[in-house]
Amino acid sequence: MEQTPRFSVTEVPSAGRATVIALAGQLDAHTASEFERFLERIVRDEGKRQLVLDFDALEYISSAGLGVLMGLIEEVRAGGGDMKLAALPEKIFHVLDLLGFPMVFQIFSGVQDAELAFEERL
Amino acid sequence: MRTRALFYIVFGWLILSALLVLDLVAHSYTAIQGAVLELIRAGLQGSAMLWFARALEVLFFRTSSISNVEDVRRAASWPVRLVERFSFVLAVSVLFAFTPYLFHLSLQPITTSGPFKIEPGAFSTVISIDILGFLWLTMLVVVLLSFWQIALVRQAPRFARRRFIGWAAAVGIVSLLSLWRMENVIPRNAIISTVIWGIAILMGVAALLLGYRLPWLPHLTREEKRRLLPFAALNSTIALAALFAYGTERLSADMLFERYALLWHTVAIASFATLAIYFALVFFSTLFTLSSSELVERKSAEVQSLARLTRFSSDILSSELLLDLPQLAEQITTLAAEATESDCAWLELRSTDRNNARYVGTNGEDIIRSYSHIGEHAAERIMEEAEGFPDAGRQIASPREELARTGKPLVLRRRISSRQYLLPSAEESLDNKELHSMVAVPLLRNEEVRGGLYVAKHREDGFDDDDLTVLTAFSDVASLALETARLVQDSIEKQKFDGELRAARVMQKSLLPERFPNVPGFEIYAISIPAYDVGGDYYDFSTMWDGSPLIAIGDVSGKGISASLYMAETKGIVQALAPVMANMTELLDGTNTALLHNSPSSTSLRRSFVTLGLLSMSKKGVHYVRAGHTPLLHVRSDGTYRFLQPRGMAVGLIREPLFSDALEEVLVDVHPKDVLVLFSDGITDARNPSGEALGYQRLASFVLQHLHIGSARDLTLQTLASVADFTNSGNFDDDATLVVMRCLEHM
Repeated sequence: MEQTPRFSVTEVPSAGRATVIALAGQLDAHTASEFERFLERIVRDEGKRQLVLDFDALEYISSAGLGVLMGLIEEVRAGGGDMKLAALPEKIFHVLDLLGFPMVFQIFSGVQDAELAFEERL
Repeated sequence: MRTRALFYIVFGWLILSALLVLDLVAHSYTAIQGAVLELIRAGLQGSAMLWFARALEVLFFRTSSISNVEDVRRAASWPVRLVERFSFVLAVSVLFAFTPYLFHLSLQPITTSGPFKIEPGAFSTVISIDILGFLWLTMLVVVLLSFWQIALVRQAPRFARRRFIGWAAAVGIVSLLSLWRMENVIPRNAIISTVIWGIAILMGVAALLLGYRLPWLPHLTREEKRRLLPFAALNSTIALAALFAYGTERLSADMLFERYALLWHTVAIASFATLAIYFALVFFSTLFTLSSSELVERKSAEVQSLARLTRFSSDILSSELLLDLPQLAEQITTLAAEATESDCAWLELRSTDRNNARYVGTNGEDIIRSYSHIGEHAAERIMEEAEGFPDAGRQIASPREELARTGKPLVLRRRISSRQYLLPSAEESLDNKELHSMVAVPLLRNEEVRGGLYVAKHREDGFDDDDLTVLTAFSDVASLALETARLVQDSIEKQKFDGELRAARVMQKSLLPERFPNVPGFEIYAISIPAYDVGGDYYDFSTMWDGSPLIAIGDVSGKGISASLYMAETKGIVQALAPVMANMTELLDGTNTALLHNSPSSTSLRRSFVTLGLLSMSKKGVHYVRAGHTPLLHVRSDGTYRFLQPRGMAVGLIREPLFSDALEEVLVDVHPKDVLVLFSDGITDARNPSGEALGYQRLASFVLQHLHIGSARDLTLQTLASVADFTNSGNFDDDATLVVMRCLEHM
């Protein structure tokens, strides 16, 4: 039986100007570095600054995973972009809510809403 | 055993006495007797000799068999000692041969001068000849038996016996033919003489065959061979002298013994001739193999060092050497030098876990080095630049790099350059000679070159294939031993690390307050259960500027020692700021700024944060502010409860003013008998065996269950017990902290 990876992060093709990144599985201390490398490549190497993170398939997020988001948000915003979170499962939203993330990040119920938010801004 | 030998001897002498009687009665040594009588005499003498031989065998030879010799080295030198002893035996026997001559004992009427004038046929003549003959025969037996011992050494007894029988048969036939010719049974013509000579030559060939294979000789060391040489020459000379004494007709001895025992006289002459040939062969064989004995010594040294190596490798796994890596390396170096008889040796072993590090040289790298009879600089120079060490026409840039590159042994046979590699330093025990040949073998682990073992000699071309084989086998064992020692060392390091972990845990525990503050109107109790790793839960009590008590709870993100340190830092900041800040929001703001300022911002992963919940109990009431921490549980005395979750962000995540803007301070309207519970997510995230998390509602219900309990302490412990029950195992994946504040009836 093929084992599904514990965590995956992929760029989803999108018609809009925003870059949609889908997260799945467990984002913990071990997989956070993979996530960080991925985001750094998107932001620094590819220069993409308008990001929508699709949390729909994410099962768990640890403080290390949140640290990655915090570590890049200022850089993204300084470059005129933003990082929007979408489709958060209830548990994950609860964690983010406790820590006060809704005050830093815009959170949307669906990916399309988040994409639309980027279009409207321009 | 002795009595049996005595019996044999007595029996032999009895037979000879019978012969004496026969001689006295029937014979007077005036002339050669008839062939039949001579044969009877020879038979009697032969059987007497047989008994003597058996007695001697019982007395001497059986007890000194080689199987008694335990030491291998002594067994190798055993034949030498036999040859030495044989010299004595031969000397005694030749003394007997010359006795009649010395005392002018003669049968010839012409030689009547001297102390003993013997009349042929006289009674005294018969007696003296017979007694002398007895002794002479006995000596012959001793000589033959001793020689048999030598001839048997390291021979397969079957083949040795076959050769001996061949030789004895030739001797027997020659003796018999001589006897018959003497007695005129067969004509004294040229044909018979030719036959006799032919058989005598055959006998000589048999003697050569006896001495042709000397299997023990190659096993002797040079020193033993030097000891053997004079004795072999001596034995050969004595045998020649005996041959002269018994075989030359001009000597009276010859006449005497010929008269006494015509048959055995010929046997004796043949025997001494054989001995002369045999020991001459021994002498020359020894002489010619003297130069090759170094090979034997080397082989033996190699075998010894291999044996030592085997013992060494088996010892090592249980020995204290494994605890002492430098000592082990030294031992290996010394052994390598001994095994290859090198003038010096050294080894170099790179540390583990430096996958991409250069082979040598960088300062921080941990390399184990050991030198035997060579200075560090000299060894370094040879490894780094093998100038003038061409190998098969190919110039090697650096033996060290060559070894690392190929992973194969390297042999450098000779040097051209006259450059001196060894420093003329007093502390170096090696003379200021140049090294002219060298072998380097890699120390491998998982096919990766970890270092090298080097041996070098002053001699050119000083190493052969055997050295390489020995050294390669040696390096395999050495690598294994060194690697094992290293693992042992690593595990010791790990234990040390575990110790650090324990220390960190102790530190964490010591950071938690030991006493609970005396807050008017409240009873306070708190407990924190650390998970396996050091975690970052924290609670503390402090006092605000206006004297109102402050209760803090926190949870540092991440685990381990760094989290623990972060917690200590947070605690320190809160403790320092609490008395000087106007309110809790400002206190949190200051803490956030201080932590952000201190944290390394280079990598986001290192950025940890801390959630804090602060509760102040001033005269104005109980206030709660939440920096990302879990909500406050407020259980009322009427059995209702609520979770207070004011807005707020975790500390250390984001800068002002966003942080302080997010904070919301709320007033908690507490009433007598109400209970306030601060907790960490280790409590609500605790899971039962089916993976279900405890959650807020269950926690509240547990508190409600135990609400009737009078003291805060018991309420805390019972609630924790309920949580532990829920997990079924009592194990928490994360630190679990509970702080319980119970309002007294009269506030």
